[in-house]
Amino acid sequence: MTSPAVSRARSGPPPPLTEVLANRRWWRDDRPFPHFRAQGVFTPAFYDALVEHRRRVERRGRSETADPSRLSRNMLNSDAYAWDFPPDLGGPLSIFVSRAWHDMIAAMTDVPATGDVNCALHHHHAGSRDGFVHGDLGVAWFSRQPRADGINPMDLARCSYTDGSGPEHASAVDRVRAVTAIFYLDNEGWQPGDGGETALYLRQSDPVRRPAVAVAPVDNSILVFENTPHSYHAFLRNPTRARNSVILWLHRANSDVMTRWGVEVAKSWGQVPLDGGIDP
Amino acid sequence: MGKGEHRRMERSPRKRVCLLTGAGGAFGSAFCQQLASDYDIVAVHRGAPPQVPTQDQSRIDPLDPRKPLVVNTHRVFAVQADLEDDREIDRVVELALARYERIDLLVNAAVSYSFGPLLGSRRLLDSLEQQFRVNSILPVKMAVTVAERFWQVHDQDNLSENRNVVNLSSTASFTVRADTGGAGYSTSKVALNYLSRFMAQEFKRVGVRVNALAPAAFPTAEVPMRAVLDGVRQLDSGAMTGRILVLDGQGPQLR
Repeated sequence: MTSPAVSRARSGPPPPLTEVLANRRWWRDDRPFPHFRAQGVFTPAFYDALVEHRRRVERRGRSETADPSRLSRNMLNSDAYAWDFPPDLGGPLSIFVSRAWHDMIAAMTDVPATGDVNCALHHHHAGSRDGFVHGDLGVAWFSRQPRADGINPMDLARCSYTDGSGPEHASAVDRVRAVTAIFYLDNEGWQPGDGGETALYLRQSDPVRRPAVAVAPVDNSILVFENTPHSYHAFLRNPTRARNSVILWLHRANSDVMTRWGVEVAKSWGQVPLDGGIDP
Repeated sequence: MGKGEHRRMERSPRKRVCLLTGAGGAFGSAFCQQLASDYDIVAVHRGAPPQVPTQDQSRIDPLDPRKPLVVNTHRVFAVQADLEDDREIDRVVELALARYERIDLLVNAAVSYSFGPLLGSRRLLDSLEQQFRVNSILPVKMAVTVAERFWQVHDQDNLSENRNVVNLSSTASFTVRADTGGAGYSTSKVALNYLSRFMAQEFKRVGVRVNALAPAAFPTAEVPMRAVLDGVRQLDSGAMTGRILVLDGQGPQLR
C-alpha cells in the first residue's frame, strides 16, 4: 500500500527523507577517487513514484533541438537527451532539489555547498556513444531567486548556467560545481553488457574503455562524488538499451575552490565547457 | 568521524593473520564478510574487491555520515593483484608482512575454470594451462613464497602459532564424469590434492601444516557457504596435516 507521504508527493512537496530512504548503509570508496554508491536507495513505493514522474516527462515526447518542456538534445558534446528541472518543480522528482537532499549530499561529501542546484533528467538512447574522460570542476552561473528554504534552483530563463548571460546577467553569481550525483532509474532489467555505466578513472589520459571502476545503472541506485581536479569520469556507450538517470550538481563558492586547490585550477576551467559539454 | 578516520583499521593482536587469494569470488567475499572479526585478512583479488569494508571502502549512513558504524569495525586489507605474474606473488606477500608482520594462515581460493568437451572444441584445451597454473601451481608458489619470506625464519613460532595452509579443492577431484566437461577443473584439483600432500611432508621442517578442503558444489542446501567456512576453521584450528577435508553434505570427513 502506498504510504501517505508518497501519495502526497505525487504533486506536492517531497516527503521527508527518513520516510523514503530505504538504504541507510551507503558505500564510500576512495578508489580511484572518493565516491559514494548505494543500491535500493528509496522505498519501492517512492521509487515507483519517481519512475512514474519520469515517464510523465517522457510522454511529452523528445525534441532534437533545445526545448525546456521536453527531453531534448540540448548538450553540445553529447548525443543524450536532457530535461532540466524547472525552478518550480513539484512532485516526486523534486526530492532531488529539496533542502534535505542538498544538505545530505553536502554533508556526506563534506562540501560547503551554497544551495545553488542544477538538476536534470538524462536519457541516453540505445546506441549512444562513449563520453570522454573529464572532470566536472568548472564555473557555473546562477540568477538569485532562492526559495524560502534557501535552495536556489537553476533558472535558464533568467541566466545562462554556462556563461551568466541573460536577462539577469547583472545580478548573476558565479559558482563552481562541487558535487555530482547520478541516480539511475527506469532501466529495468539492466544486465552487464548493456552498457550505460558511469566510468571512473585515475587519470584523464586513461582510455575511456578501461576505467578503474564502472558503476552500473541499476534501478534505484546512486553514485555521488565531489568534483575535484582528479574526479575523472565518463559515460560508457549503451549499444542495446536506453539508460535513464537523474543528474544533480551542487555548487560551492569560487573562493572556496581557490583556497583549496589554488588559482592554477581555474586555468583548466576554460578547457571544458559546462552544461552543454559535460555528460556523466 | 573525520575524513582521515575512514582509513583507520582496527587491529587486534589476538587475531590470526590470514592471507586469502580469490577474495573477490563468492567464497572469498563470504570469508571476508563472516570471518573478518576473527582474522586480520589480507584479501587478494584480481578484479572487483570483496564487498566488505576495507582500507579503501567503508559504509556510511547518508543521514549521519560522521557516525561510526559497527559494520566498519573489522576491515580487511584488500590488495589487487594478478597472481599469474610471479612478481605479484612477491608483492602480495611483502604487503601482507608489511601490514601485519606475520602470516598465520594461507587460504588458496583463487580459481580458474572452464568447462567443455575435449573433442569438438578447443575451448577447454585452450584453458587447460591456465586452470593448472591458477588451481594447482599458484597455491604452491604462494605457500613457498610465504615460507621463504617468513615461515623459514620463524619455524619455532610456526608450531606454537599453529600456522598452516588451506588449499581450496573440490569433490570434483574424486570422480571422472565426462558429461560434466570438467576434465580441466577436476584434474587441476587432483593435482592440488597431491601437491598439498607433498607440501605437507616438506613443510613439516618449518612447522607449517598443509591441508586441502574439498567441498561439493556450493553454496547449496547440502553444502551451504557456512559449512565451507567452518571447514576452513576446522583445518586452521586442528593439528592435522596432509589431509583432505571432504564436504559432500554427509558431514565433514577427513581423508
